Amino acid sequence: MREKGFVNRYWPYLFILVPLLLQIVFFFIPLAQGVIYSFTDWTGLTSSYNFIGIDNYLAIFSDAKFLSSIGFTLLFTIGLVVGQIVLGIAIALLLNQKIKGVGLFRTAYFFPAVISTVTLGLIFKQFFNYGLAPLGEFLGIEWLSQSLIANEGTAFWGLLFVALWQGVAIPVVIFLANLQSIPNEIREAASIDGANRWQTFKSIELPFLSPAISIVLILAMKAGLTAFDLIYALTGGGPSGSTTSLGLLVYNYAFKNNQFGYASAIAIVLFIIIAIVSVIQINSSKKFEV
Amino acid sequence: MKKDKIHIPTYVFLTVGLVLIALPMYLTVLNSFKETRQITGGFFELPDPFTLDNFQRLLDDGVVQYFANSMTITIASIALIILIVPMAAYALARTMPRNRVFQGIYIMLIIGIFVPFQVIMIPITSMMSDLGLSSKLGLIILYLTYAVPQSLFLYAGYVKTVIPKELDEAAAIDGSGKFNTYFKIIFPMMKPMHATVLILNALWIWNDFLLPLLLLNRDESTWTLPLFQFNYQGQYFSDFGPSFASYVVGIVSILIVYLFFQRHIIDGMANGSVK
Amino acid sequence: MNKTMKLGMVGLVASSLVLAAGCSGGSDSDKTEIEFFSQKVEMKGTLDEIIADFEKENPDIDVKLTSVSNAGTVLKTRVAGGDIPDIVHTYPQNPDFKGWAADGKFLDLSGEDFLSNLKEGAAESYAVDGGIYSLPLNSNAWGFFYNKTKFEELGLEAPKTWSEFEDVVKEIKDAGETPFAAALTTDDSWTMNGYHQLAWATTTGGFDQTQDALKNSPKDGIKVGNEDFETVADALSLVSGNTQKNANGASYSDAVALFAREEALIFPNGIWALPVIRDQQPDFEVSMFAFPGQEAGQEMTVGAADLALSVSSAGSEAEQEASKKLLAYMTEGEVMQKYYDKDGSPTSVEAVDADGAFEETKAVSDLVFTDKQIVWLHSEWPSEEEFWHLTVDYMNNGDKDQLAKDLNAFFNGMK
Repeated sequence: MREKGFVNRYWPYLFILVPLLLQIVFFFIPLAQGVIYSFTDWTGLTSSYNFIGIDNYLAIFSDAKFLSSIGFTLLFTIGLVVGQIVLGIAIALLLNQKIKGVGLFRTAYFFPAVISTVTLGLIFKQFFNYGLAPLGEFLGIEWLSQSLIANEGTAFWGLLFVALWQGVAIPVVIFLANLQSIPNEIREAASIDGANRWQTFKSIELPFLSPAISIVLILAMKAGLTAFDLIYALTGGGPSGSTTSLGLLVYNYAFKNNQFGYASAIAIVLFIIIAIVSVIQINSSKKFEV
Repeated sequence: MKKDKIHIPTYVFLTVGLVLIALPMYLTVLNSFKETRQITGGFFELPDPFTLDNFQRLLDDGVVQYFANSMTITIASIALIILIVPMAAYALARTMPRNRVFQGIYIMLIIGIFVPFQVIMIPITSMMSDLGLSSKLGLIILYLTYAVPQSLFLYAGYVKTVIPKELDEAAAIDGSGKFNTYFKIIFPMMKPMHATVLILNALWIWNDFLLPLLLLNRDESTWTLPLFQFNYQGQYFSDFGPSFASYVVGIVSILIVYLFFQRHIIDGMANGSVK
Repeated sequence: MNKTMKLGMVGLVASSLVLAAGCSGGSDSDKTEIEFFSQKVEMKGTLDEIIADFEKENPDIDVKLTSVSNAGTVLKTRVAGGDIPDIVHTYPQNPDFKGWAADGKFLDLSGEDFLSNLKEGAAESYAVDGGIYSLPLNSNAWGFFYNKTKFEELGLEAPKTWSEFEDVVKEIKDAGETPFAAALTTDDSWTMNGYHQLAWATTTGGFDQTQDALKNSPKDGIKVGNEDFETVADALSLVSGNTQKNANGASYSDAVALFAREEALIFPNGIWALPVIRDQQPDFEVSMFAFPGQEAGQEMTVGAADLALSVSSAGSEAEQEASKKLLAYMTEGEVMQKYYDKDGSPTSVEAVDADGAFEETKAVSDLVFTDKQIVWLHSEWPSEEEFWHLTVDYMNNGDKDQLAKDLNAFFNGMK
């Protein structure tokens, strides 16, 4: 009542003012600088640089490292998305049963989320090389008798394993929360109808999970496409560059090879690709909603 | 009888998972009680000798101060995120369907989700230093800024699908102003999303290394826990004993917070997510 | 949300912000405050002591030591943003330093009195465009650590030529022991950098000849079948198959521990590894030998300044003067002695007494500041990391064609 007409009229502007300002100042201005650098030969060392037009962008598409990195990043993202959703739902379903000790399990399954990536890197490097490898040797499994992340053929899987080991914890909590919101009456009705487990899942649980799935999808896509920390800590991008994600590639070009202009161009290309994918994804999900 | 049969595979699966989860945790704790020379030589061995020196070393090196810094920064950032982001998400969710300007603003605000940080790393660091914001305050501002895209996306989706528009209209008819409606009705209804956003951001901020490194490197008294942890890792020499002890401190403290709020978080997420 | 919660929240935010902002207090204006940026976390204690002594002698100067891990990235970001610390610990053989120096980011120290406290030519060897932009206080060096006690038991001697080296490795293996403790992960591929560089330098005859073979040869000029290339590849192959099991997943500290536990008898690395090895308290006599050449007397080492100090040209005159004072102080015998006694890298400060403290590394450190030391080859390359990576990749997979291809890919960019 006491609020003036002004507020009631322009309230949306007031509500978005702070985040908008913050984004402009602390995100878009530096991003614009990055875009400018992408048209230069800046090394990151000197105060001056030359504009070289779109040379950086042209160079990207003949850069073998970029191409292999994009392949790795896409596969890794798909692995992460599928893994987080499928494993996440499976574990959440297990944890949603009314059995003894489930509270303990629920708590324990969240633990991996709290470990920092650095710690994770240190531990799993040791675990793969001195825990798992001797086991593989004992069992006579050849691919397991070396550190999983030391071998080009298995490094991807070793990395994905660790990423999911940690990355599945939060999706589990989200899925679990959604499962718990299913009213008991609906479940009971289903069991009276004699629905089997799969039917119950498909017709009752899955619809309740669908908002959570789209949340996890976006979170996993972000984690995969911009992956950096874990890879930096675990494999450094090796062996033979086979696990170099785009994030790591950008970092290496900018900070190790002193090609800041070129690194910015790669980042911008990555950004454009993702923007296109997101627009397609948003559009298709709109259709899905209707 | 029939029920028990179903439960046995469940227990088997859950227990296998539990072992997988527990092993790295166990190793972290185990190594925190060893001397550095034993960690490099015998990572999987039991502590010999068993020592608490690593934890003593952390105290001597001022871990309490770094811990307090991390707490301050995490709590302040989270509080600001929850104060500011849902508000904007609510406004956008309501205005977007019929206003192209707001659609554009929404896309502007969430597009940052997918930008790799490396591309703005150099510009933002120099900008913060020019603004005199290479400080804890500056760090909080950046956490708030970089939390916006993802959190806003989550909140906006939630408002669109879960909180009916009729609610606002009813409140308006009752003569409630917009601020009032938001704080009294909408904000409490977003509780499940608050829980999700809180966990996601708290874990990120608590464990983040790069931003504090870039902003706080100059003044040791402002360092966060991850910066402090890393300082036991030199170029040619790593002091693994205190490193692992400091990891235990980091993990245990956030676990305590989680255990304390666990009920609220899962309940919070569950309550009203679909009504 | 009820009122108490709302109030609580506002209070929380406000108090956190006050706490966060509260630390930007003022400082004494009569003192000159300078920032000393160090890149070696492990030397922080020693630097703290040196700085405290310096401040006692110069009460009008306040030195703040910045010492963080990942210092290279931090420094690069800060310099790029124009926020250069007053005194910077630099690596003057590195492309980063050269770029900065050429761009005028650092003061030219030519003509400063304290340069005369260094060994003849030490500072000049890192000159950029004729200017001396850094004060190189010591030098690191690369070679092979070995288990002397075990060598004696097996009747082996430190090899003086490459063929002796091959024999030694073979005999160790025949005796049922592991020759090399190695870390062949991408992460720790830097550990083999010296090995590869010295393989080239001893084969071609030196720094310039190697640059000619690698960097100054025509595009795609590195070919399988070329005599020098084959010699180098063979030298690298000596490591393959002669390491501990699973060296391709081992880290630097794993390799150190392995050597210290006598599970491998040779540890290829720089003299900087000595403190870590000592820390493991090995039960045997540790010693070193240099990278052998084809004939006796052709052994070499590779290394460059490990602690070099540069002064920012962006500081005020008072800050620059204070910074130079600290640099001069570091060249005093007693001061640098403290650093040397902890660190063990041969120092260029004439007055430091280098006798006896680091017997283990003597065979290699004696070559430093002689014509048997080359400066790291990457001092003339724009980057070095890919060179490390391709080195361990080859040691792991033994694919010569791939090695040639990777080398060409790396050097073609410079041609």
